Amino acid sequence: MSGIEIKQVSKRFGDVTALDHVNICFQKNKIYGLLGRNGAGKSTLLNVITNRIFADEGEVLVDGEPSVENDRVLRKIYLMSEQSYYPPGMKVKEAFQWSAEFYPDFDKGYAEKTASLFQLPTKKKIHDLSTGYQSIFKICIAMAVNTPYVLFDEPVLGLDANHRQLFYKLLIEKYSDSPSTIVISTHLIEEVANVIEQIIIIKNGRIIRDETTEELLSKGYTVSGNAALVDRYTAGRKLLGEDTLGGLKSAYLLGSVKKEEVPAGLEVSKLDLQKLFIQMTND
Amino acid sequence: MNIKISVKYQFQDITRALIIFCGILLILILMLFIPGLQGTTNGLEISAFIFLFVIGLNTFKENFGMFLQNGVSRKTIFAGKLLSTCAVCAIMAVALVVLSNVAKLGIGYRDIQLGTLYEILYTERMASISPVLVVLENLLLLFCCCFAFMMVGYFITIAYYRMDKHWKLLISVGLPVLCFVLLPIVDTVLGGVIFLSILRVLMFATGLQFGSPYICMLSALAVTAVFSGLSWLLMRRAVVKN
Repeated sequence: MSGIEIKQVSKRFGDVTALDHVNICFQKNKIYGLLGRNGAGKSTLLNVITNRIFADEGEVLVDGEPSVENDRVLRKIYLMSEQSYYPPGMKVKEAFQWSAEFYPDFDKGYAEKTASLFQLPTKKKIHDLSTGYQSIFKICIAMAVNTPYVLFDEPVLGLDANHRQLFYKLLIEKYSDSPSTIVISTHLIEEVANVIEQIIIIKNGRIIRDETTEELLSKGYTVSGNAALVDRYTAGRKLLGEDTLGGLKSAYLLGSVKKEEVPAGLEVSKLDLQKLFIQMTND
Repeated sequence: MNIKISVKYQFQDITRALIIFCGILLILILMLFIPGLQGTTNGLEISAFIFLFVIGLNTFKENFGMFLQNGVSRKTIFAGKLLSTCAVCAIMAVALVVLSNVAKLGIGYRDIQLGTLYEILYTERMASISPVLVVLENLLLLFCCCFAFMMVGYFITIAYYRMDKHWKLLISVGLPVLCFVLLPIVDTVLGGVIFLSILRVLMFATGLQFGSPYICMLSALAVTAVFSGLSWLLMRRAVVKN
């Protein structure tokens, strides 16, 4: 089977269960959002997939082959991790050159072009870059490796709004030109909501949701309008959360909407992914 | 394919340090050409062994992270390490032989004594074999010793990488205390038996007992094999650390 299959993977660190019998599959050429709160197990899962740490139980198959100590498989995956594992004394352009050695399909021209768009100084040493530019440096490589599976762990860490927007724009462009399986692990839900096709939510090391963005968002709706009207409508319904601004209120509800039950003056819109996420992952 | 890159990366990682080290040795040796200089010079090989030991100590953590980041398995990293170490040690052995001969040219007829490790340890054997064989044996001996020193350094750095802070503290304090405090005390109590035994083992392992460099080569290869094996055992389950 093609794709990344994670079968019954568990990982413990002392008393903490980071992953608890995780079963998921990242299919070919789809964009996934791996969402979870801090410490939910996102990075651990990505590190197990890429053989940087070992699972205590279970296995990871990539295109049907186990990933553990398998060079052929490991070269199909690139993980842009939150932590930098490039030698700090290495220059950005040297890292590009070595990436071309490790990954035969690495597009050095594209990496340099991306670096120039982000105004990343390629002659600088990696450890001299700011946190944001270290993320940009890793983004440039991840976007240019051209492996079938690219995993991003908190890719926009330290990036300003302009650079974040540029990253998402380039990601979509790249995916349109040459589709690959992209997994974005983040807790910045609102920003990735428009990019991801499939959402995987992880909580305390367990997968609690694995469905398309559309399916997940169809599980609820938002009602906005006069606060009193909204309160009257939401009474007795399953409320995810609400925001109030002056006399106006937005309420986030679970379930399907029956238009005839919505009083005049209230507006119904799609559910906010972040609100749903908060509700699902709250302890 | 990956093994080539693993060798290439790990080899180039050492290249600059190797060039600088050999450059410094060359400058020191060229100083022997200064007229009027007198004295004794040796220790070229020992300094090279210490250099390679330190290189061994410094070539794990960064490389390990870089390789795992770039989809290289631990077995390929380790195989690359062994092959690149082979290349580095071969270059170092040749460089040492060349440099010691340059030094001899510099000394000429003057009152400076220069002894290579081989000449000091196997003086009698040198007189009984051809000069070509001396050079070959010297090269092999240096290669084996360089390999052993580098792999010991590599093992120590992996062992420290795998240890938690309590073990690091225990080993860092415990080992010097054991070697430099407890052992001499126990040795004194036992009437010098321990150090005498260590000396006998060293005499045998270096081949001094029989005047044979081949025993020293085999001992160095045995040390290399043991520490390489231990390094692999530690490395095969090593994981990335933040």
